[in-house]
Amino acid sequence: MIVEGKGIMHGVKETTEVCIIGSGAAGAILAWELAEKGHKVVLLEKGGYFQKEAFTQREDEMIPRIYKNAGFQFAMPSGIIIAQGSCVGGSTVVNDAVCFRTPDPVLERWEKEFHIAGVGPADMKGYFEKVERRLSVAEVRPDEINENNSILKRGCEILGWSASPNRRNCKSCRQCGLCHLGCSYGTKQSMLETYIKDAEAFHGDDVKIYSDCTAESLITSSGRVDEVRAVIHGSTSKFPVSIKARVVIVSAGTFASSELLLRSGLNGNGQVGRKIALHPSPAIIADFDEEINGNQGIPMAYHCSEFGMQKTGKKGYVIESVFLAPYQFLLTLPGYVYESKELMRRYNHYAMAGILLHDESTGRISLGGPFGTFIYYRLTAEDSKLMIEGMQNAARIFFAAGASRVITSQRKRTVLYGEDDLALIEERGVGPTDINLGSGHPQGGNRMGGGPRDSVVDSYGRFHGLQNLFVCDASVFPTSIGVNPQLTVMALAMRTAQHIGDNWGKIVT
Amino acid sequence: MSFLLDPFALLLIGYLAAKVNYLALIFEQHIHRRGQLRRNLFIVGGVVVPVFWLYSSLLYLDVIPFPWPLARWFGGTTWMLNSGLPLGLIRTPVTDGAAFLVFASYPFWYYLGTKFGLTSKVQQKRRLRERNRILTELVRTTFPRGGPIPPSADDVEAPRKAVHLLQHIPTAYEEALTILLFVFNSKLTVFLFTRKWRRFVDLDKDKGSTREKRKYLESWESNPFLLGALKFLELVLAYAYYTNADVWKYIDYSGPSIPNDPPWLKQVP
Repeated sequence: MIVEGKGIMHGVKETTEVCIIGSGAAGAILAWELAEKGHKVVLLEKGGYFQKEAFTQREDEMIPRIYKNAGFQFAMPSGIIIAQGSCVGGSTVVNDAVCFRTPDPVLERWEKEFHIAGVGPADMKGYFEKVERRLSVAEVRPDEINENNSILKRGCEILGWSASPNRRNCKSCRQCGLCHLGCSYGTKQSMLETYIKDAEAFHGDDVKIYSDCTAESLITSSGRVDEVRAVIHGSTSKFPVSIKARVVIVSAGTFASSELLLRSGLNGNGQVGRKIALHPSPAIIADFDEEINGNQGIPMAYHCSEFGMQKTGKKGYVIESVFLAPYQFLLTLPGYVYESKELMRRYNHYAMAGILLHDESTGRISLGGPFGTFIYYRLTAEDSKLMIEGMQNAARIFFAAGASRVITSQRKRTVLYGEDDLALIEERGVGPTDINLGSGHPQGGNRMGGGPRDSVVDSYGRFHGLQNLFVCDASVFPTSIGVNPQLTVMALAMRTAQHIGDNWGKIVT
Repeated sequence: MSFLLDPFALLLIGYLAAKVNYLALIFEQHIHRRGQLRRNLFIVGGVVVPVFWLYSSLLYLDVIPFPWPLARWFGGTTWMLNSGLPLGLIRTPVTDGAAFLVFASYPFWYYLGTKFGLTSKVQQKRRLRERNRILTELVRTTFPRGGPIPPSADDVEAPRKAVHLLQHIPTAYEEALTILLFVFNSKLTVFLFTRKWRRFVDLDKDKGSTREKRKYLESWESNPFLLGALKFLELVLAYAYYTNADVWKYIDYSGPSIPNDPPWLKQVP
């Protein structure tokens, strides 16, 4: 059952078995799985509830509605724009439906280096399979690959580099090219179309979802969380919400989960909000003489894995084809926006790729500052080098595929006319003021680990020192994973749900 | 502290306390705490006013000199009555009565300061109008008529959209952007970059010209410390202009296709 804020006229008090904060990739799966095990669940979602009919395919209408802070979220000092969904279904509503399993070396590292039990590739396989079945994850068919993606494919083939179609959670995709504005056709198998719909259909009142409801603090006593306090944006005003639950799960996403813990005075020995990774991504744009119509078709259908962990076994980067509607596209262009008309005029002749950097650099989130929270992130020298290499290799792919010029997202307009110009990328640099970077994959902040000295939660997401508080979302990743993270979050949610179900008696007493 | 200066000092303290508290609470985005604003101001006043009463009374009664404990420039009573000016006032029963009245008015001056600090609705409206004017000029400067995409900002109602976006972002961001726009527009900031003592909105004297304004913008971009702020503004500007169908036709962007399938969809069995 979904209760929208606009229907609320007074304060809300609930007593339930499980309270989950956040309805994204983790929260929705946890709600479904725990309801399946017979538990009553209340789920609080800060964003609004929008069904497919509400997705108008217009950036000016959708971005303020379904993106966190209307798209205004930055990591300083570089001003990296961080995109996260804020609506029922969370970031799964605004992502490009790309599904990667966590690379085996990452899981092995988590197990060995961070002493996380039961997270090895063999342990996780079953969870991945189960999620992929429900989300209808399948490889993009050759006839679904548009010209923007074909260019990446062609360039990689000419250079002899590994590349393959993406796997996506989309059924009968209408290829409108606007996945990141919410799927108007309901074909993207986001949480909205899968687990949340299932929970509504099969569990009725046992899963109660409050949208427009912001969790403000967790009230603790005697090593337990007793109550979640929130406010709901009702029809006439804001009203207080109090949820008393036997188990509380924070799944609000990287940043929001850490923020809630910090606001509740839970700093996990100073670990909460630290070691945040972003997968910072520069964009490379290639100009072709012919029309590419990059916005027509699946935006992210192909990737080059030649330099990623899947191929090399060590951290690197994945070059992914991508395309965006004009406003978001513009934010990747070089220079100040008043210079944009000349570049934007050739919008239809561009192909575009993003470099997903498997970053070892880490940042932190802290309360305070002009925006209520402050996100700090800075690239290490090694990651900067990798990023430059990634941009140069993406440019090589485009030149091999026949681009007449390649434009980077560096602030100072950097236009390359051939491989001889590649050194210019390094010359212009990737320092905080040198480049426009974006991130759609914030991770970490509430790291999993063996003990409270160097982690916030244990191997199954239980907050150290609190018996009934769990954290489950990308914030528990101890390192960045080097690929699009939604499937990893979902598989971890399955695993946490199973752990809570299996140990219910111990957790609640 | 003196009878002449105390009311102004209390007015100023009340004003600053209100401003700082207001901004702190907005930036905290903590809804439960918003009700604390009045209580915080009451607590600050509860400390400041008695401190003024005590210190000024001790001065008036000549128990301490001015500025005790730093130096001994004036006798306490002389300072309180004359404020360092050659007025020649001395303590009499009349001044005692007047002193009592001035002391009694101390809470009022503090209260008045907080009232000024908590921008009134009229001031708030004026402030928003001014902010929107700066934003409108900024959008117009960024997107003049002509060039590869001919429509100007006004042709596609971009200023209206920019203002609209500001109303949809969280309060803390809106407030930060508002402050940023006022700093951007201030004579002092413009002077630092252009050596011209004018506001940004008044930079070009010829109607329709944006040359001076653009030069000022360019100088912001070349400053690494201001680049972050500029990026923040860019989000608003890009949103205002490039989300318009009248702009899309010049870049061959097809826009929404719902409720139909997009025309390029390949029908595969």
